[in-house]
Amino acid sequence: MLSVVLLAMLPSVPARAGDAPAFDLPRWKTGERVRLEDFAGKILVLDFFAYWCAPCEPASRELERGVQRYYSDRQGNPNGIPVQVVSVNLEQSLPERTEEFVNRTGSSFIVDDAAGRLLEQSGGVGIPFLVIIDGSGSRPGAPKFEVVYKHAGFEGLRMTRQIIDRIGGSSATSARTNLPSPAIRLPDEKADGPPLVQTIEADAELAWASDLVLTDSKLLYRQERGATEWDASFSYASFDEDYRPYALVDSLGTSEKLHEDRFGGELKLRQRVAERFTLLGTVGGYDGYPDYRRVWIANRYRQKYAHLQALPEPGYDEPDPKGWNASGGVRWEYLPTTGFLELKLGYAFDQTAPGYEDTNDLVNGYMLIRGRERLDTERLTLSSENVLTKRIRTLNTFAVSHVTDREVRYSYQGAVNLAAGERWIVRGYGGIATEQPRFDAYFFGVTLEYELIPNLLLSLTGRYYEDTGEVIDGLPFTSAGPPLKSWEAGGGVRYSWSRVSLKLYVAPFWTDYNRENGAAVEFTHLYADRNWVLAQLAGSLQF
Amino acid sequence: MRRYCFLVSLVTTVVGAGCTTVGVHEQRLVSKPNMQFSRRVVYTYSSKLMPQVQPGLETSGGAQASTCASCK
Repeated sequence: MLSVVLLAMLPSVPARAGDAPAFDLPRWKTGERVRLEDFAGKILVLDFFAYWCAPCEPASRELERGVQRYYSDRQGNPNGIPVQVVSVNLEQSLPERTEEFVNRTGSSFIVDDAAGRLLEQSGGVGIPFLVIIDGSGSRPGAPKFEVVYKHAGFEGLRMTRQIIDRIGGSSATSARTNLPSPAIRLPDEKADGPPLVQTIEADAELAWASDLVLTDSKLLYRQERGATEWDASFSYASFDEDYRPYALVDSLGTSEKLHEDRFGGELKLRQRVAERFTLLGTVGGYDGYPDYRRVWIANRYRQKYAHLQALPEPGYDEPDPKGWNASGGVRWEYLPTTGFLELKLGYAFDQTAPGYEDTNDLVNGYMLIRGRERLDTERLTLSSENVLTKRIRTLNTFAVSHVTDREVRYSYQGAVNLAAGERWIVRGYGGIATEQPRFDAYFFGVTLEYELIPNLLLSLTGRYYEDTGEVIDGLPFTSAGPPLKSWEAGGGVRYSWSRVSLKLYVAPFWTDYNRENGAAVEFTHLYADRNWVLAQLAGSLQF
Repeated sequence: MRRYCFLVSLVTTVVGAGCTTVGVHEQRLVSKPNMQFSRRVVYTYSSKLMPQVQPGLETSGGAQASTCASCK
């Protein structure tokens, strides 16, 4: 999906008339030489592609169907000038993959540009890259080839045909600037706009321990067309817990089986507004507990305090956790196809299940103090994605967040993907987080992926996590988590076939809390060491 | 120490980024779906449940990031 976004949002080159670069390239498979001057008297459409470029496929398919065959059937453009689409293959490795690509697109005239020299001379910085050359003015001995249009990313058949149709008219070299106003709609405008890519994704995740079962599932629909991409998702999470009071004899607590649900929804929009800038926006909301620990903690407070109805305000109140969030940002492609910078600002409102504190003094007597229910969170995220070499891609993310009544949390996550070979990929990541007065966490992991057969990948993952325990507020019966160490080792399989992809990942992991300082006494069983199993199942369908 | 770690990671990022541009025709390997930092669920290894257990992972922001209900 990211490839679609990255390549589709490549910078466009302003259309301007200019001399087309001469070329002398071998025809795909046969090696027959193909030269620019072979297209004298014609309109030449160059379609630069590589089999691994996801958005190239619909572009090449559309150009073959809607330009090559369209104008062949009509014996040229409205001015009688023949049109020829030439697909320029940039990738020489794994020719069988190129063959599969060509079989899917139906491209009929293909040349090889192994070193990418013609792409470079044409000013291409990303693919799909389209160049329309007017060779109608060429005569034997007097070549005249003018570039009337070039663009990274396919803008659709409508745009392409409009440019082609005007070549050979009264002002051939200004074909792009003489486009009809948007008010003049062509009969097939909707069908011939930029390719529409729709995706449906579904995923389900489960974490299981002897006394806890957690699930989180999401269904998402995504639509991409030209400069606009949006998605809508619905999520469901469940928490099943065998609650136990902290002591065998606890007059204020009994064992219970807990079940809670959380429902959520989210809308995301990505809108390219300039050659290298894309605006990002997200809104979302949820109704229910955000995590299993709060279900447990809230139940403890309910058992302990719900019967004390006679207490003065603010006493106990049944929790009703829910929240919403919104964020906006911008993505800047500061290096064509290889350097991206993303800045996002976000706000989240959470109505939480609050904590409680007993007080008892001579003046006021016994009182139950309810903690803050409403939390505001502001968050700033800066991330940078880079292609460092032809084998290494990195992603670095810095985040600064602030929650009501707490100190600022700083976090960093770095990831590096290394193509170690044709079939091997190493994905490494790590990160740190820190918050005053005393919370530090770090983690790292590595995943090895091996392509067993085309489209079938196996993976092995190892991860480690450690923190110093959550920020403690000094309450005698705090619910803050003690210092934690956690390990994970898992394996997965992913299969992609045509437009369908499936993934299964299973990983046992272990949590080891350090409770030497006696923290969170009332939540001894919540913070018990556990053997977990994590399972993820995901699928996507693109159409 | 923490500031030092942030500084190192920031400098590494800045130095590592943008020193060179890899040509489009050389991007075959880095353009593989599993080489990208994809938002597609089948190509990501991140977990939505893990931040509940490991609060330092904190990806969703909001009170979800705080986990501890009574912590200040």
